[in-house]
Amino acid sequence: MVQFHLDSTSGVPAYLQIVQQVRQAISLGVLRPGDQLPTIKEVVGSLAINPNTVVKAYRELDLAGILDARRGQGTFVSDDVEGSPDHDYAPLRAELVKWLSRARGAGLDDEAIRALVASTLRTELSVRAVA
Amino acid sequence: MTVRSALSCEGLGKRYGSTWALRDCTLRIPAGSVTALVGPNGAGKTTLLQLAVGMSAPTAGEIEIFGWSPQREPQMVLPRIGFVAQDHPLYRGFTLADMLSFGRRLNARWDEKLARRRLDSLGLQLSQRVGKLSGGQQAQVALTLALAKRPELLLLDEPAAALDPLARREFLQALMEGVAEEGVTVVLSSHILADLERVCDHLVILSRARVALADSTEEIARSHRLLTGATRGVDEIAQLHSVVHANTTDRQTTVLVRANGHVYDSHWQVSNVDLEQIVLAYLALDPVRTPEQPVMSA
Amino acid sequence: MTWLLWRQGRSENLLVAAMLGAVAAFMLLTGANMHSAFGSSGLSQCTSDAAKLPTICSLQVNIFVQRFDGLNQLGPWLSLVPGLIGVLLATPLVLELDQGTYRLAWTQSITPRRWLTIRLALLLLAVAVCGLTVIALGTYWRQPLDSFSGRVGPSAFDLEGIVPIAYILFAAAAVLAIGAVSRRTGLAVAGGFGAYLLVRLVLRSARDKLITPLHTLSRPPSGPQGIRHSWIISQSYTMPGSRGNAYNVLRSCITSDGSLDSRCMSHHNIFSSWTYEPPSRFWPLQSIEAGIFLVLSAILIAVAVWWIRHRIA
Repeated sequence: MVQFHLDSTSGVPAYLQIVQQVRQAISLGVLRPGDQLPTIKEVVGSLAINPNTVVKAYRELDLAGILDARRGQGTFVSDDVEGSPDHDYAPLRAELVKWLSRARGAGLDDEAIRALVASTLRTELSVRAVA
Repeated sequence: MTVRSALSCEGLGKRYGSTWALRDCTLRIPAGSVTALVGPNGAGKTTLLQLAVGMSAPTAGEIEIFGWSPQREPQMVLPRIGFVAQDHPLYRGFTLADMLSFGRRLNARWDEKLARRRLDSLGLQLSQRVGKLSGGQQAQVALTLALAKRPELLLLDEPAAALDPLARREFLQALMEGVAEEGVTVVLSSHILADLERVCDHLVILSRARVALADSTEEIARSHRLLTGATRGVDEIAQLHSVVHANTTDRQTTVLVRANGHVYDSHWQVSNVDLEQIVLAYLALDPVRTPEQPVMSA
Repeated sequence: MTWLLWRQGRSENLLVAAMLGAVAAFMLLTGANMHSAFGSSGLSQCTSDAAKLPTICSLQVNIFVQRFDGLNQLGPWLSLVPGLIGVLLATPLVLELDQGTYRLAWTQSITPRRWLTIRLALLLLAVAVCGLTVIALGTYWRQPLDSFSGRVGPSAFDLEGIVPIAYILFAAAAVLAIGAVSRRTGLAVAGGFGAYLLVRLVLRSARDKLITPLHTLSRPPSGPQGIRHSWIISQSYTMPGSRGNAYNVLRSCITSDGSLDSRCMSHHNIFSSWTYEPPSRFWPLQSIEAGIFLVLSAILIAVAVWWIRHRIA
């Protein structure tokens, strides 16, 4: 059974973290088509979060076709979902490697790179939220 | 869409002698929500909760629980609520079996199975004496009693205040499980801010006996912005947006605003604020303080 | 809710039962003893109010009274019992206020008003039951001695009639009032019991002023009608109309065996002066004293109720 975890310092809303973790679990093969997800009660019981947060996350994934909410039975991974194969990300990964070498060349160490990524994500997120 | 209010008050006030413990309180807490009632000690949280359960009578204004007055129609309100008072009072000489007997005999609606199931999952035996349990276990027992009433509204006064972080976490887990299972509306008061953001979807901030802010957490996060810029006055920005708190050093001014639409002023760098910082700002504390100091003083 | 009152007050209720049980055992055993001694000594002929009793009586009564005199000494200790009972009966309610469990009790399905009403009603019932028990036991126990010396005297008065109920009620009311205002059980118990002792002492010493006693003179050795069963507040010798000290003259009337010669006293015009409350004053005095305690209790309970309803939350 997949276990969720929350990072309350990341600035990412809780429901989004759950959405991301479900997607990740599927792409990593931890969750496969037809697998049942933990019930809202189970998630809430382990994370101590508002049930509506989980409802929201599951609903969004349901609308995206990734999850299948079956009345009275639970929430399951859609049969027609595909764990995104790794090679779809290959071009992105290549670009990232190039950027990383540029960043290192500019004198940024690992810590500085992470900080730059985090703050850019935050402002980018806030711009998206306000828009 | 009108959502039925679990708790609604209009100009509610309570005075003890010459001091107002609560004033001009107007709120609508929607059914099904989990609301945090925050504020320093003495802000009026306990007073509001006691007015809600009919333990005291208002000096001014009105309060209704699902449309009934707790003072005038207590027989309609009491069966629908579950209340855990501060320090989770229990009869210390009773065994857990006695406590269940208490709940069963004093309540028409009582789910004995639920109560036993919860105590079982907590690893507690019915023969244990309440006085011998740890603080965390007692808090859980008090919560069990309140939940076994099958209430529609659960009111908790500083339920986790005296608990260590682990016990507090377990308490909130159990509470959220109860919410997921029963769909009960929850109002919990606290002066500890940690974990509130993940548990609550509504927030009421009380400061000096008045309501400083009352809204859904989503709306609060959406509408509040932290503006940082070089040292300057806030009058200009105050004309367009509602300034909650401003802090100026010799280099920098930081302002927390409740934005009226988008903030276009190029003098300021605009960023989101987390709930904890918003609460601290409303309580007139330094909004740039680090989140590691969650406990507020009166 | 009766289950809750029993369970929450279990320790106190058991203590009250134990105390009453101990008092009952004592009174029933010693009482049975006295009753049988009374019967077998043929003392029933010595109990009337007649001016002259069979000569054998004065000796036999003396023997009887001497034999059970020790029990009389217990009077002051027995006075504590109603106070202790009243304090114990009121303690559970104060404990609810002190420990904060009233906040639990008031938010089940019973309203605070109903909680208070039921608690008070059952408290009053318990006071009445305990009071009647004390009265029944006391009346049985005192019956032989009362037949000689009447009920108006202090050792009998406090255990019979209706005042024991009023005593218990007052102690309970005092504990309730102090407990409601202070919400401290220790203070309420100590203060309540202290108030009980104080008011009991005050009223005990003022009892002879509640109704003005009778003053009469009589020719010794007889006394006024019914004096045997009265509460003799004081008795002295006096020579009315003469300025001399009766006691100086009395010395000359002492016979060789130490008793007083009545013809000598009559010759010297020495009279007995009596201040007393006759037996007919028993119920009037009971009513007045009980009434005072009841009024005080009502005030204290009213204070407690007001405080609980308006100040406690």
